[in-house]
Amino acid sequence: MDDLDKIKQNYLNSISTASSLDDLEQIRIKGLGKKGEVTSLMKAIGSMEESERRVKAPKLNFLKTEIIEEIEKKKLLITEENINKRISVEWLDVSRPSRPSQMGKIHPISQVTEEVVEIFSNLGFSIAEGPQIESDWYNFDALNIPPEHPARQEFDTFYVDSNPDSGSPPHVLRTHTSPVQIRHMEKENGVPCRIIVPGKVFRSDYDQTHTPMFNQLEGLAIDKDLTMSHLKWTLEEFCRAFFEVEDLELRFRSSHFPFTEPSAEVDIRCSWEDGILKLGQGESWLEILGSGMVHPKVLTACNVDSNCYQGFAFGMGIDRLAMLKYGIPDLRSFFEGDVRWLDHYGFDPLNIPSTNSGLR
Amino acid sequence: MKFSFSWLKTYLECDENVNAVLDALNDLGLEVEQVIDPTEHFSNFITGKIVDVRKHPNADKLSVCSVDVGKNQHQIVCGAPNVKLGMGVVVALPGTFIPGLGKKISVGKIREVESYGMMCSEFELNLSDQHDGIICLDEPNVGKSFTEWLKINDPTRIDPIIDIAITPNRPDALGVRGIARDLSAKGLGKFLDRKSNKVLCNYQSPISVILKNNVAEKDCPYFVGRYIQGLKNGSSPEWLVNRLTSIGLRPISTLVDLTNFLTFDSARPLHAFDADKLKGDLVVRKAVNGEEIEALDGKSYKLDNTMTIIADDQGVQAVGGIIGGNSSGCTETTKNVFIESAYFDPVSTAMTGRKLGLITDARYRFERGVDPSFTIPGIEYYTELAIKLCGGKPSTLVCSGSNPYKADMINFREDRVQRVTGIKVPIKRQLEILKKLGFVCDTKKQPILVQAPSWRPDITGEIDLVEEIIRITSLDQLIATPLPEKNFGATISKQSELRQNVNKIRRYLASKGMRECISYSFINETQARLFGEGKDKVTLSNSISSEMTHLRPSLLPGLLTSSKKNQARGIHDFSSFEIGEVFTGSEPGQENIEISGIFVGCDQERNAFQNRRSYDVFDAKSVVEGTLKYLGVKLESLQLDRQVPKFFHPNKSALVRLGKFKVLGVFGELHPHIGLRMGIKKCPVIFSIFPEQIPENSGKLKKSKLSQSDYPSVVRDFAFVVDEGIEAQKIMATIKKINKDLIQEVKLFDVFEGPQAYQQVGRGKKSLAFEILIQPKDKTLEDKEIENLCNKIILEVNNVSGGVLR
Repeated sequence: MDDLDKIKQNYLNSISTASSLDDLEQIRIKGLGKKGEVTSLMKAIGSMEESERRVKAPKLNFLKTEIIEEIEKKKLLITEENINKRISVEWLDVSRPSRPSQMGKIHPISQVTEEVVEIFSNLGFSIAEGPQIESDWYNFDALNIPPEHPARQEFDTFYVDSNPDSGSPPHVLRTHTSPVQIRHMEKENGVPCRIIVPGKVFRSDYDQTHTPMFNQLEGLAIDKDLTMSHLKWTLEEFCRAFFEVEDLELRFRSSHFPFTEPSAEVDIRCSWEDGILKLGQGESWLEILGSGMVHPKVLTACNVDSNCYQGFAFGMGIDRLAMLKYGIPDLRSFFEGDVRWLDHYGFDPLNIPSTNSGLR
Repeated sequence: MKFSFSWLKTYLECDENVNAVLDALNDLGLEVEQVIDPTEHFSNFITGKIVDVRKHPNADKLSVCSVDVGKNQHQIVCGAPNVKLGMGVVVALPGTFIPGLGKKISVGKIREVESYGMMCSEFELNLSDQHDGIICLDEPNVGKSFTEWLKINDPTRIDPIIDIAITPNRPDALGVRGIARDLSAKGLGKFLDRKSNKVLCNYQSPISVILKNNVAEKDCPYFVGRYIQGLKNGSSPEWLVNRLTSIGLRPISTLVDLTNFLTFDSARPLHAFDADKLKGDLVVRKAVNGEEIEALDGKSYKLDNTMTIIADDQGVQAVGGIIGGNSSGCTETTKNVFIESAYFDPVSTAMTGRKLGLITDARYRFERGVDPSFTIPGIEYYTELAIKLCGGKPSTLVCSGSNPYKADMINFREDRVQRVTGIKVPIKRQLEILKKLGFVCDTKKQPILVQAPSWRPDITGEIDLVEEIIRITSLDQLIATPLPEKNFGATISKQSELRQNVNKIRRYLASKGMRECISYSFINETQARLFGEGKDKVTLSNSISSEMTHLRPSLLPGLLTSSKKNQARGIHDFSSFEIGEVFTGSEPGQENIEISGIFVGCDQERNAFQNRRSYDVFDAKSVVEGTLKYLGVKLESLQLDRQVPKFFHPNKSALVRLGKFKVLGVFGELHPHIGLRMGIKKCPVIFSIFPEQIPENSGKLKKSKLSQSDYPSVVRDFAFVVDEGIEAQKIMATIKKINKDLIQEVKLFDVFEGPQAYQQVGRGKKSLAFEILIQPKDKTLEDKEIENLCNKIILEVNNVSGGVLR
C-alpha cells in the first residue's frame, strides 16, 4: 500500500513540476503507456489472488484516473500559459485601411425617377412609355400645337434626318414626354386612365442651365369627373411625399400651354437664406412644374369624347427635382460620367425607394 | 414685355402698391420675370443741408462741412467743387452701401480730420455718370430719405420697371393697355381707356394704297394709311424719352419714337414712311424671288415670293409686319410722312420672319395677332400725338381692304367653370369678368352666347372662356380634393417586365462596384461609324455641335468617352455602366434598351493586401452571366460565338447566343485599334446586354422541388494536358454528359499555360485542372464504381479533346 501512495506522490510531483506539454506526455508514457509503471501494475492484477485483487484493483484504477485527471488539469494550465505568451507578442496595426469596398453607385436621375414612380404608383398611376424619335403629329399637332403656332418656336426642336421623298414632315426628337399622352389615350382602352411617363426629352439648347437632353415626368389622369381640384391634391400629395415636408404649400398660377386649358404653373413655398434653399417656409416661391386640364382638342385628337371625359396633365423636370431635393448644383455634370461626381452625388444601390421604408 | 409702373397707371386708376400689382400679374398668368425698383437703392440715403463750410486745415481742395441730417449734425469732409453753405445734399451715413462705388462707407479720417459719412454725386448713386460735383437738392426735406424727396420732386427716377413673360396666346398683353385691362378685371382698379380724339383733316392723301390679289385675301386684308404734311421732326419730349428709355429702347426722333411707343403702349405696330422719299403709290404684294431690301437695321435681306412686302415705284420699301426699309425711313429732317397701320396675317408673318431670321417688336406682335379693330384707332392716336409734338396737317384716311375680324359666337354653359375646375363662381361674377375683358354676352339664350373681343384671337371655344374666368378669379381658389377611388385598370404589375428588370439590373450592377452613368444620346460621326456596325445611321438635321451629330447605336461610345475624361483627371481604375436607349433607325420605335458596361484599369485601388489585379475579360463575362441569370435565362442554354462586332478584340471576346437567332449579349476586350483612336489608355474590357432579346419569363412563381441526397459525395481532381486552342467549356460539357445523374458539378480550378507551362507540359500545350463532384442519389458508391467513372472521364476527355491526364 505504501508503494502505491509513493508511486502516486511521485507522479503528482513530476506533473506539477512539468513545464511543457512534452514533459507531460513523457510522464503519461512513463506511468500509463503500454509499458508504463502503472500499466504494468494493472497487468499484474490478473494473476493476483482473489482477496488481494479485491483490495488492490480499485486502488490501482483510482490511481490511474487520478494521474489522468492531474495530467489534463496541468495540460490546460500549460496551454493557457502558452496562449498568454503568444498573445503578449502578437500585435496588429488595426489603424491600417481595410480592404477597399466594392459598392458602386446609382445615378441620381435613376434614383429620383424611382422615388417619383413609387409615390405616383401609390396614388394609382401606372407607367406608360413611348419612343424618343417621334412624329411631328404626336409631338405637336395632336397636342394642339399646329405647324405655325408660335409655341412651336419655343421648343427648340431637334429634327431627325429622314427620307426626303416620304412627303411627311421630318420626325423630331421628342421635346417633351407629352406625346405619350396621345399614344396612351388613342389605344383601345386608353381612357379612363392614370399614367405617368418618365423619360428623356431633347431640346437644342446648351448653356449653364440647359442641356440638349434632360429628363421629364409626365402625368395624365382622365376620367369622367376629374377637376383641377383633384390636380391640386395630386400634386400636393406628390410634392409633400417627395420633398418630405408635411405641410408643403403649393401655389397655382395661371399660365398657358397649348395642350391644357386652364393651365397653371405650380410653385412651392420656399426661402433663400445665404444662398441655401429651404422648402416649405419663407416668402419666396419656386416654380417646379406646369400643369392643367387636358385641352378638349387633345382628347378629340385621340378620339376621346371630350363631352364625356376630362382630366388633368402635368409635367416636371426629373433632373431639376433631383437638384432641388439633393442640392446638386450643375445640370451639365449629370451627363459627364465623372467618377468623382458619381461617387459624391450617386446613391447606394441598397437604397431602394419605397414609401414604407423611406424614399431615400 | 417691359413697362414702367407709371406707364401702367396711365391706363389703370389704382392705389395699390407695386407688390400688389406684381402678385396680381403673376396670378393672372402674366408672369413677372424681373422687377427693377430703384427705391430700394435710395431709401438708405438721407437728405440733409450743409450748415457750415470750413477750409480743410491740411488740404486746399477739401472742405470740412457740418451737415444737418435731422436728428443731429455730422462733420463730413468733402472734395466736391460745388459745396456751398445752405445747399441741400444727399447723405450716406456710415454703414450705408454706395452702389456706384460697390462698397459701404465707414467713419474715416481724411488728412487728419474725421469724416462721418459722405455727400453723394449722381455717379455714386448709379443715377448717372455725373461725378463732377455732389447732388444739389432744391428743397431738401432734411432728415427724410432720398426716396421721399424723389417721389415728390423727380418721380420718374424711382419708377419701378416691370418685365413680364407673355405666353403666346396673349397678343393683347404685348401692350400696356391690355395688361391694364386684365388687372382691372381682377379688381386692381378702374381701366382708363383712352378717348380717341378725332383729328381735323381736310385733304386727301397724295399717296394711295393698293392691295394686290395675292395678299388681299389673307396675308394683308386691311391697310389704313395717312399722309401728314409739314411736320417738324426732332428729339422727343422728356416724357416720351423716359417711356422708351425706361424699357431699354433708344430714342431716335419723334416720328420714329411714336411708332415704338404705340407698339408697347397699345400693342399696335405702325410704320412711318418719309413721304418725300416714296415714288408713286404703295402696293402691298408678294415679293418677286430675288428682290432685296436694305432694312432699317442696316442689313440687306433677300426676299422670295411667299413674303408680303410694301413697295412703291422704286421697289420694296418694307417687309409687311416685320421691318421698314432704310431708304424711306424717317430722319430728323423728315417733313412729310405716310403712316401705315395694317393687319398682317400671323402665320405668314411668322414664316417670313423665320426665313429672314429677323425678330422685331412688330413681327413679335403680328405673328401672335394684332387687334384688327384697332387699326384705325391706332393710326388716329399716332396722328394726334404726331401733330401735337411735330405740328403738321393730316390727310383723310386711306383705307384698303376691310377689317378681317369676324366674331365667332361661342356657346357657354353656366356649369362649365365648376365642372372643369371644381371652383364655384356665381354666374353673375362670371359674366362680369367676361364683360370687363371685353366679351359680349347674350344671356337671353341658354347656353349663353359669347362673342370674343377683336384683341383676343386665341379665344375660339368654351374652354377658353372657362380659362378666362378662372384666371381672373384666381387659381388660389382651388381646394385640393382627393382623387376618387380608381375603378379601372390592374392593381398588380404596374410597370412593364422590362422596366422592372432594368431597375433590378441597375442595382445588381451597382452592387458589383460599378457606377451608373447617363450619357447624351448623341455621339459624333466617327463614333457612329466605329460602333454602328453598318446599321442605318440616325442623324440630326440641326445638331448643336459636331460632337453630337448622330443618335447612338450603342452605349459604349458614351462610356468610353467618359472613361477617357476620367483617365485625363487621373482616375485610372473604375468600372461603370449605363442603361438606356440605342437607335437602330430613324423611325419612331426603332430604339432598344441596352445595358452596357466598361472595366478600366484594376479591380481595386492600390492597397496593402496584395490582391489587386487588372480587370480582364472574365469580369465582363461574370457580369453578363450574372445579369442574364438575374433576368431568368438558364446559363446552360447559352452558347458563345466568336463572330463579334469589329470593335471587339477578335480573339478575346464572344457573343452570347440563345439559339440560332438571338444574341443576348456580347463581352470582351475593346479592339486595341479603337482604344488607340479614341485616346484611351490601357484597353478596357466592355460588355453589352440586350434585354429586349430575352424571352419573356413564363411567369412561374413556384420554385422547383429541392432534392438533397443523404449519401456521401465524392470529390475527385483531374488535370488534363490539352492543346492550347481547346476551350475549357468543351471538356466540362463532355465530363458532365458522361453521367448526368452522378456528376453534379465540374469546376475548373487551375489553368497552367504560357511559356512557363511549356517546360512541363510541352510546347503549344496547357494544363486544365478540374474538380468533379460525384453525388449518388440512392446508394453509397463502391470504390470500384468510382474508379470506373473516373476511367470513363479520362477516356472521354481524351476522345473529345486529345487531352491526357497529367
